[in-house]
Amino acid sequence: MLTFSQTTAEQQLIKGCLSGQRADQKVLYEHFAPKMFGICQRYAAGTSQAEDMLQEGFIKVFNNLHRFRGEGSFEGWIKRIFINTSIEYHRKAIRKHLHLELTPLDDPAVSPQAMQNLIWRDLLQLIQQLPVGYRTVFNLYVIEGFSHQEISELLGISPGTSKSQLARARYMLQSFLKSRN
Amino acid sequence: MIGDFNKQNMSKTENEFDQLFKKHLQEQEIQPEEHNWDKISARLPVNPYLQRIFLTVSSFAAVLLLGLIVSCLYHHFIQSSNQQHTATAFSTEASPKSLNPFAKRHFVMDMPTDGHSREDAIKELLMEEEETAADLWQFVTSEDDLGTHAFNKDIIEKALKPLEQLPIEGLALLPSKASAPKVKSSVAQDSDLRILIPLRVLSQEELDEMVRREGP
Repeated sequence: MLTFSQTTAEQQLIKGCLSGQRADQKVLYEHFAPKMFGICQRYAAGTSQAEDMLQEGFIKVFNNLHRFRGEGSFEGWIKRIFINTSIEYHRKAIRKHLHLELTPLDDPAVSPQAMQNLIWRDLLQLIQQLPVGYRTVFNLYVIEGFSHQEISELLGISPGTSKSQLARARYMLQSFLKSRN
Repeated sequence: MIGDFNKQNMSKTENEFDQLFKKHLQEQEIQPEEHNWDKISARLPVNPYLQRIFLTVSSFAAVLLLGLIVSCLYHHFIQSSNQQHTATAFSTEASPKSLNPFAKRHFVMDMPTDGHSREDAIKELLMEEEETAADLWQFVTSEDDLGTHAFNKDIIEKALKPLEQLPIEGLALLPSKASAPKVKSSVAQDSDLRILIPLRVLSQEELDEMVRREGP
């Protein structure tokens, strides 16, 4: 498999993909698919949805490859496509959910010990149980590192709504953890 | 003070909580099943370059087609608008404000040929000296000529309005003398002859001048 730290190899691979070489397209897919599937799983409610997002995302990558100007990292460009695809996949549901009325929250304290014993698969399952709006905001803020302002622009909501959704997502995750223990 | 402490403590817990998810999930790779590539591959174009060219050409063609349709509709609209004006100029008291002085317009005369063949009637009408609109106008309005020509006098008199009746608020529809356009004739029905006399809109000054020249 190609090493993607080599820019020339990356450029050649992109060229091959642009000219429709199936072999090159498959190499690119195989290289990035595990990482992008990880992203899709975080934004999806389950594997089936994640697979749909993965396929949609790669179709967009290959169809828009000619637009990649080589400014910034190629992986970053692909990642952005997948995040946008994931948001697009749920856009209607996200907006509907984010406009629901919120109730005040109690603090469901979770012991640090309980948190340390978790592995990624447990955490992924917890995230997937969240309602789509909470899940999206939590992913964008906590994992991706977007600010509330950026999230508000991406999802078409106010920064205040983004903050309250994040608090709600944390609360639900902690409740899930508590009930597991 | 206690509030600040609680806030700091909560923020620290939140941070730890967030970091736990970030650490485990940010770079987490999950191998998708093989069938995903098959589905992607089936949806990819054989030659993306050709597909892009095809898309560009088809977008260009779509824009051209749209332009053509708009142009056709526009011309159709103008044509039907002109036809409407022709009828209005002849049969009703048209408002000159709604008339476009640059649009082509005709004074239409439909006449039975009274036993003459259409060819003879056309020949008779389009005599050498009567080929221009102005001459024809003179020809059909001349009392001396009316009785001697083949055309039905009553119809011509009904069709033509006296000069002073044509002006509406300072404008008149008359054949152009200056440009002397050719008269067109065509067959309206089996036994009728249709004559189209080009008209133009006169300005108030031209009209005054004409009235002065013609006399009361």
